[in-house]
Amino acid sequence: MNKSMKIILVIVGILIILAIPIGGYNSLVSLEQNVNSASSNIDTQLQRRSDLIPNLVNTVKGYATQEKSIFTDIANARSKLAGATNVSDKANADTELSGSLSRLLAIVENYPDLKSNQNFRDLSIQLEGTENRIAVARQDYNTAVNNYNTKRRRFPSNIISSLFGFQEKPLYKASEGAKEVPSVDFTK
Amino acid sequence: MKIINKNRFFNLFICFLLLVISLLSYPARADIKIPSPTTYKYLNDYVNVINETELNSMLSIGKELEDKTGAQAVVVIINSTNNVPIEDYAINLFRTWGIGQKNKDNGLLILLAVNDRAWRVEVGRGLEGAIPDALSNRVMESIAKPNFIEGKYGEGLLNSYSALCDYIAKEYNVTLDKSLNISVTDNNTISNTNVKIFGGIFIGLMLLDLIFNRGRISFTLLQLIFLNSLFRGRWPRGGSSGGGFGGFGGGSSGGGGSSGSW
Repeated sequence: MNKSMKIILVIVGILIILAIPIGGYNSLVSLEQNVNSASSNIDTQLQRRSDLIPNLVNTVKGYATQEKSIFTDIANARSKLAGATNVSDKANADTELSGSLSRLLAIVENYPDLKSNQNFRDLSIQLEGTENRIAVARQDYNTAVNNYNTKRRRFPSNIISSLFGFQEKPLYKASEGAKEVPSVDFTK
Repeated sequence: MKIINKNRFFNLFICFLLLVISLLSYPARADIKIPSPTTYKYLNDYVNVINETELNSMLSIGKELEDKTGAQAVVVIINSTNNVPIEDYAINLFRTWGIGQKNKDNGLLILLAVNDRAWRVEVGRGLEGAIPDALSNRVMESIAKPNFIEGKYGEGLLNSYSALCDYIAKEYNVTLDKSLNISVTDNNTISNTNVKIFGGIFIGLMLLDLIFNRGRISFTLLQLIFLNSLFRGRWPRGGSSGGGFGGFGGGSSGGGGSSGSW
């Protein structure tokens, strides 16, 4: 075996050694990107709901002037959600907001005029739709996180993830009650 | 001689076992059972509540809409979601079938669970502008629900389907003249018996092969199928077949739409 042959072999060997982690690194990057985009999907839908709420509250206020405490609760939960930066804070604020919203929709039962108001109906349907979108976005986010976290911890990509500092991503955990979409029964 | 024979059967057994395992472990998609689409694509009636005239008009509208806009509007009628919330069922079905074009997500699904007395309209992201939640709700409540209450599912679905398709067409700046007279005979059972006959012949041939040929052919076939199934998971999903109307496009939904009951 002559010298140039050896050099070529060494180069090929180095290339192979380099090529293996590059594939693992790239797939970790794209999985992490999936998590990020799923996370921003949740934010979009949470924002959409947040934007709907003032309209809904104003419509209800016109009919139910004495239910002041619920309106303040909703306003508080809404500002908490706006201030939340990490996933678990968001999940908590989201749960709180869902709770106060379902209480709001529950008091509507006492105001038949409000229930038959077309504007209120449309708003609550939009709200229901947004709740469903949030639920879907949340599931998609958790799927993306699971894929990423699994890849991150499996051999051999765990070496790359610790080398390049790929952090574990938290799941979006909502309380059981928050999964239930608040709804108004218009038939009664 | 005997040892070889034993070995061969052992190999065959292992192959078969691996095949079964790989088939069983395949789609691990939750526990929601989604039926496969029928050959009519736009109308999938698993309960048999639709008559032939309604079927033909709905197929005509669906085909015209897809030809003119590329959007896919699909009706699915099932008996029950088996205690799964209809929203979850609808989005699973929507994504499994891949209704709408990929990246455009311009699909629409009207799901009716007859025994649950519940309906859902699932709207792909690309059509959320054309059909906001409040609109789909209003269409279903005003056009479909009165018919559902009287048990006229076909009429209610046809009218609401037609109305929603008009809204989609409007978004794409086209009008549907609904004069495409597609007619299909409502008979799905022939293909089913065919499958059974061919299955029987296949098993018979395999037995003959096992007895007279020591299972050489079956062995090779099983190996082939096994290898095939190994690579199955790598193929892109979506775009399942839809008979004479072409397949679905691999579209998705983000949970838009509305639902209700009667």
